[in-house]
Amino acid sequence: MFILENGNVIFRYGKDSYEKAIEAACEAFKLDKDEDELITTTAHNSCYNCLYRRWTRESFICMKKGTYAN
Amino acid sequence: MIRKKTYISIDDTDEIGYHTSTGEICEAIREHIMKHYSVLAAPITRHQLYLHEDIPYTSHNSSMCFTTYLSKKEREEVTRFILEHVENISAPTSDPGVCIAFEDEIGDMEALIAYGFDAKVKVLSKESAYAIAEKHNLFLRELKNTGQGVIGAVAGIALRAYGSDGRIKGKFRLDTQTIEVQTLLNNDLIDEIQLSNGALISENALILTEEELKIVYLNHKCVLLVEPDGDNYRPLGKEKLKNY
Repeated sequence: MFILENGNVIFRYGKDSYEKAIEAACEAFKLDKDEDELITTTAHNSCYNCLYRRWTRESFICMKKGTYAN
Repeated sequence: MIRKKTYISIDDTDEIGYHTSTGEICEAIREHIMKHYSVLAAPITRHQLYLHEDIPYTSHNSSMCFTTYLSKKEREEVTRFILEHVENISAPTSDPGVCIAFEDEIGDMEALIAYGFDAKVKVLSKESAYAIAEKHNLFLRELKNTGQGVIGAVAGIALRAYGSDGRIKGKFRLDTQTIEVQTLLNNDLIDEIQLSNGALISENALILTEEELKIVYLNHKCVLLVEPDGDNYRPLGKEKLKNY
């Protein structure tokens, strides 16, 4: 689900893989309480709505996973 | 007392896990103005700026802006309030920027708007933000740490002035499953209802409203974008509004 690049753990499926982002949501998931930053349904945990995602041009960095990838 | 159209924009006030957000801080400022000056303020717009590893944003790099009408004296009072409020409530590690401008004092609106578009596609410097502010008569102030938020604050005003950028802050829920276009338009929240290609739909058409409504800002209007759903229409979901 993630790749390690320049010390960052990056979601490998970009910004439009909604199913994969749900699949990737881990036990550390925390819903971003800023509703204006939620970009998909909250019916399921999704990395795309997680407080710990930091968007990049192509995808997002997981700020919670530290420096490992899975 | 002459009141003039006033733009107010803030950026970079939070940090991961902080108890409030730039949007909430902006909303508090907007409510303060409406309450203390008995004046209307337009809804807040969220403007997406450039996502790049060289920009130290928290997670999404967006700025918030709204407009209201203030006299010169009121603007001075409001400016003092905003600076104090943002200084106090913004996150300890944040880099807030505040930008305020009277529309009729903006030197060159086209040039300012161009700066806003640059902020969506380029890494810009604080110096460029101050240069634009000085050239076009914008009040610009950084409040804490690096003050990097001044770039987004200027861009927020520029993109709001452009009039076709961003989403309206917040979501709106109706207590009905369906509603006629005309009835929904009578609600103060929405100026127009249209398809994503810009086509308007019949005033008698039905909109399915079981989900919360998210509104975008197009042609200086609060617009609900919909798509056909059988004989009716359904608001575009979050995923389809991502690029607004």
